[in-house]
Amino acid sequence: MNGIAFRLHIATITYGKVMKVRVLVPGQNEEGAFSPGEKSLDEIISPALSELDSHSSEVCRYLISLAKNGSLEQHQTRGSITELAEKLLRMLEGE
Amino acid sequence: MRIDRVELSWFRGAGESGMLDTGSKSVVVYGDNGSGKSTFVDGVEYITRNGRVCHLQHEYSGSYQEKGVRNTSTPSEENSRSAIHFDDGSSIGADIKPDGSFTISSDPADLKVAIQNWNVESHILRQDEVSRFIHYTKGQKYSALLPLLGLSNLEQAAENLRQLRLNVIEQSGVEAKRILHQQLTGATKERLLSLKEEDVLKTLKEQTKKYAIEQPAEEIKPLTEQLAAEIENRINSLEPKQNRHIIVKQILEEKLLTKLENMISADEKAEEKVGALLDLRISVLEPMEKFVGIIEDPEKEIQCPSCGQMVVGSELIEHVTKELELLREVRAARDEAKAKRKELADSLGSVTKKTAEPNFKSWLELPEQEEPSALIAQLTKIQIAEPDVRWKTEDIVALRDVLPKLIALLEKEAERAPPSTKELIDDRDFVQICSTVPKIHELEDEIKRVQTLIEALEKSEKSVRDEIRNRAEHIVREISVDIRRLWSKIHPGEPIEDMKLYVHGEVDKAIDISLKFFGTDQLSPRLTLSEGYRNSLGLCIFLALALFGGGDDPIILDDIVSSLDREHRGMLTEVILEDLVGRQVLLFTHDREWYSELHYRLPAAEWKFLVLRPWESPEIGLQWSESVHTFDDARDLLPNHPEACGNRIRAIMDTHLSIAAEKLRIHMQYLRGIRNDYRTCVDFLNRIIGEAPERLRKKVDNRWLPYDDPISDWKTTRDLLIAWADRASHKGTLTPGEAEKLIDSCERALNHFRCRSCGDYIWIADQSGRKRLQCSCGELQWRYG
Repeated sequence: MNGIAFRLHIATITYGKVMKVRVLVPGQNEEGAFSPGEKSLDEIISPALSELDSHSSEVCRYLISLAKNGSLEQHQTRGSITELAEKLLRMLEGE
Repeated sequence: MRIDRVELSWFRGAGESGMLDTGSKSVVVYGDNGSGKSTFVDGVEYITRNGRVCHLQHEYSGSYQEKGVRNTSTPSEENSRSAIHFDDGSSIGADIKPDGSFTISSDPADLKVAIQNWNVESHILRQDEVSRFIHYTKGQKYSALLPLLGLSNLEQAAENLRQLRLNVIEQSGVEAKRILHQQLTGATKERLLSLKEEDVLKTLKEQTKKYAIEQPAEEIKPLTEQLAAEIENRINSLEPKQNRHIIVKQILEEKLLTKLENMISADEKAEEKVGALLDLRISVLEPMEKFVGIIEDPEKEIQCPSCGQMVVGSELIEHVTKELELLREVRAARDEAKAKRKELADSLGSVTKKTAEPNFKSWLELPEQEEPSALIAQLTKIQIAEPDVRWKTEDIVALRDVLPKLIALLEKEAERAPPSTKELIDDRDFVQICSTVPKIHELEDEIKRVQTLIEALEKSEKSVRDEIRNRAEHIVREISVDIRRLWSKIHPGEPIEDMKLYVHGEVDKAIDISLKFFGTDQLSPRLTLSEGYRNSLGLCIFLALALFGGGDDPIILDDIVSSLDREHRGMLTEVILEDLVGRQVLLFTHDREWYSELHYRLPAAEWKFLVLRPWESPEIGLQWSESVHTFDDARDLLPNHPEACGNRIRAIMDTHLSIAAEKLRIHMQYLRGIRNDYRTCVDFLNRIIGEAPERLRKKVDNRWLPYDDPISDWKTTRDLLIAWADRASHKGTLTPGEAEKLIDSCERALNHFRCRSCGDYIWIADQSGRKRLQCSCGELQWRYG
């Protein structure tokens, strides 16, 4: 199927009726959400940070750690975003 | 997770107690309009939406919807309650005080989060919301699908990266630094061919020879300090006349006229922006700003604190963010005006100070300098305003009058300066410009560093958005397969096809629906589909979403077939049978015919059938019927209208027996013309009675024996229908006692189609190879071959 490894639920036949057949897209788990193994946030943003890495590897590492520990995927208040920006700028200045 | 029961107390149509006991099965609830079916749906929605029922959103429903949620006859001190109990023993409940304030708690505690994370788009569908998804905007469709796509976290990450980038821009002051850099480089470019440090240093060292500096420094900054000090010494040792020229030059360099015009222009700009926006925006934003900070889930709908409308959290955040950006622009304009006022004030102060220097003052006192003296006197009289305060109009008018005249006079005087003075001034300016070069480099470094961070955040956000788009495209393609499959089941062979969701190509956060209508591509179902078809498509979309993202959560369908005709309702039954296997479905309907069809087709092992009696009063609340058939609405006519009761009974039997005959593969004799479509329950019963001795079997000791017991009941019922129901119709005479007996007989007749052991109907399993129908346990059998 288009080269994509689809996983099929087992089709159960009862009383002559075909029960639901579900097709999942790659990386998706039974609940419909993508499994963590698909492509994590740090993997998504790492290529975009390569230039920053050559200027400030500490800031780059910190951003990747935020992506890894899930902070970037959680709702942040305006206050916490401000603190985060301050921290990044301080780190940037420190190098 | 399955709902075992929903318990209500003084909630909406429920009186002191009202319970929907599903026994952890799927359930079909039949009830007339107003019997209280939706009260159970409201009870569930109230909990999942954290104290809110969408259709009760109204200006009169009260701050907490207490005027809609609480039963109107609730005793004043009594709380209202809604609780859901699940098959694993867990439960969640809402306790609503008389003022509408409420608490929702669950056991275990984390169940509350799980239940309130249910996405309504894939859990609850109501009659008036069947086509809601179709009518959504592209953005609303995206927001509705986001939780199902499993991309909320990535969407949040993209938003955080965006906010972080904006915050870095604001906090770093990179824009102001860029402007300063431009100003400084603009000034240096007129005097320096190169800004390279070694070139500037080389040029400055040539100056040190001119001014006989013995130990010139090796860096720009200290070197310019050495040179500036030496030039200043020489200026101070000049003759008073030469010194005066220096002062004149300095006054001219203040560029007072330009600064005055800059200040006026900035003031006007700020005035324009501030006047139009500030009051309005602040009144909107003040209540919102605090609110936005406490939104826990930006994908959930929330009530806007300003206008009361329901909006998706992320949209509100975006709205507030945009408003704040506008306000920040206004604030920037105000700050700019303030800066320009300060600039002018500083320059005027400096000029006033210089004009008081002895060399300049003595020049002013000369009789031929009467005009500049008078102008400077006028200038010093003008009161310099504080930066926060706008200049008085008369002061601006005075400045506009005095400054051009004074500057023209001073320029003439400056031209008279001797060459040596001019050279000193020129050198001093040059050194001053060179002294800014380290600052320019410093700014360049800072801007570059911050810019790299800003670009990295921007690229990261773009990468995340690209990922969201890719995944969303994958997933909506999958959902579209389900939508098309469900549509072709409900509408087989119809020329409306190829419907699909698609991620909008150009706009972020946008999803839409397209289809083919009689072979022509249509970018929206709203262009060509009738309301009935839109509802049908909306239903397919809901079910596809429920199948895709609902896990094993229950699906609640509240009166969803109103706009479907009999044929399409039948097809929907197929969908329920085949596609919703394993999912708990809570289905509410007021359509007796569909209820009967579902009753006869859905397996009793997985489905429960309940009938609500007509609702009488708020105090009595919800009442369940003892019977799973729908005779209760006929029974309610017994005391006062027994003859109408007879008609109702016959209508009910017409529906039930037509379905039963169809299921049993009873071939009805062909009748000429329209009579073929108007068979009565008696016609069906006659055929069933006629065929039963040959076809109906009951398993006894592993042997299939003819089963005669039902036949005598069916005969009795047929006779009563002919005698009493016909009399009720034609003569309008039927006693309450007769009507009650007729109902009992009809219920008994219908119950014979059901197995007493497994509870399923005799036609639930079709062994088509052997031409036999049977119940789930196989005790009852109908041979149709």
